[in-house]
Amino acid sequence: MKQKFNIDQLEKRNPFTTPKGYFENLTERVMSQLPEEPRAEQNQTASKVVELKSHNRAAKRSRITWFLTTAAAACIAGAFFWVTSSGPDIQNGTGSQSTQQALAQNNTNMQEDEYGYDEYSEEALSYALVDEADIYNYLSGAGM
Amino acid sequence: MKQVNEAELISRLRDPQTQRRAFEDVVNIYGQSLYWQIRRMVTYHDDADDVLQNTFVKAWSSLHTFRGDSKLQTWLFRIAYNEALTFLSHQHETISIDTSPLGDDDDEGSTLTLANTLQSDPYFDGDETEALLQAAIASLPSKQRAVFTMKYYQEMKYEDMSEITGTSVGALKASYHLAVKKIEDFFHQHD
Repeated sequence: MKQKFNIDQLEKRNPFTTPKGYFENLTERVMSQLPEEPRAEQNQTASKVVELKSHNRAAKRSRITWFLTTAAAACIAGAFFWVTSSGPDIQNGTGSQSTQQALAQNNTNMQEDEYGYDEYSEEALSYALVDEADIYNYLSGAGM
Repeated sequence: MKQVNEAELISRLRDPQTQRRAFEDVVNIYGQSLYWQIRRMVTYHDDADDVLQNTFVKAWSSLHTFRGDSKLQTWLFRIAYNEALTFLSHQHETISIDTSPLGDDDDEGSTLTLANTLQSDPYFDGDETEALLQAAIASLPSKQRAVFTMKYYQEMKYEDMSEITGTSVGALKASYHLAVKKIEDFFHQHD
């Protein structure tokens, strides 16, 4: 019957070796690879982190400014589209019915504006060549 | 290992005027034992040498973080343990990418390949059984491999291992017994 293998029956010895003189030269080789000051490397890393953080803050500020500017431009463009698209109806209308239609349309637009998003703002955003994905990318930093 | 006056060594390490010379003593004193701890985890000399260099670079650059709560040796062993784990995880990722379409059969093949490779390695002078034992150890998950080698070869106390690995004594005991069982099963399969 085959005997069950038992790890304790193995002779416990180190089967590994090293190149000749490896440990004699180890200290010299290790020391030659170290920076002069122990914290020099860490300080460099710290300054990089600080630099990175300040860069991130500046980038964030820049993104917020860009977003506010775009939002303002979108509002102005929205107003411009509204005036140009509804203007001719108002100007060309001869009776009170077309004026009322224009006003009704305006009211609908105002109701939609309360939800913050309507076809005009969509047009305005398209005009500015900006879509939601772009805004999310800029805000999340993916575009950086 | 040479007799060390640890308090005096730590005091020299903290003094900017003497710390470089003191660190040279640290490398001199602990270099060999750290090398063997790492070598048993990563198997090959070149890999052990790389991980050892990284261990000392990390120890030197984070010298200010050593508060003296643990022994200097434990602190160094902990850095070496983490560096070896990092190395093994990168190695595992590389091997997984290279062999991922082949599955378990290839793991089995690579384990036996390791045993064969070791026997032709100029820095391995074990016989076939010892090569198989190293292949069995290499087949363990990296943390279990570390636990096994620390206990089996270095005969380290579980309390010291706990300080190095940050794992409870109970979990280490369970891990060691599981590793032994896996290695014995490995030998049964290849008998």
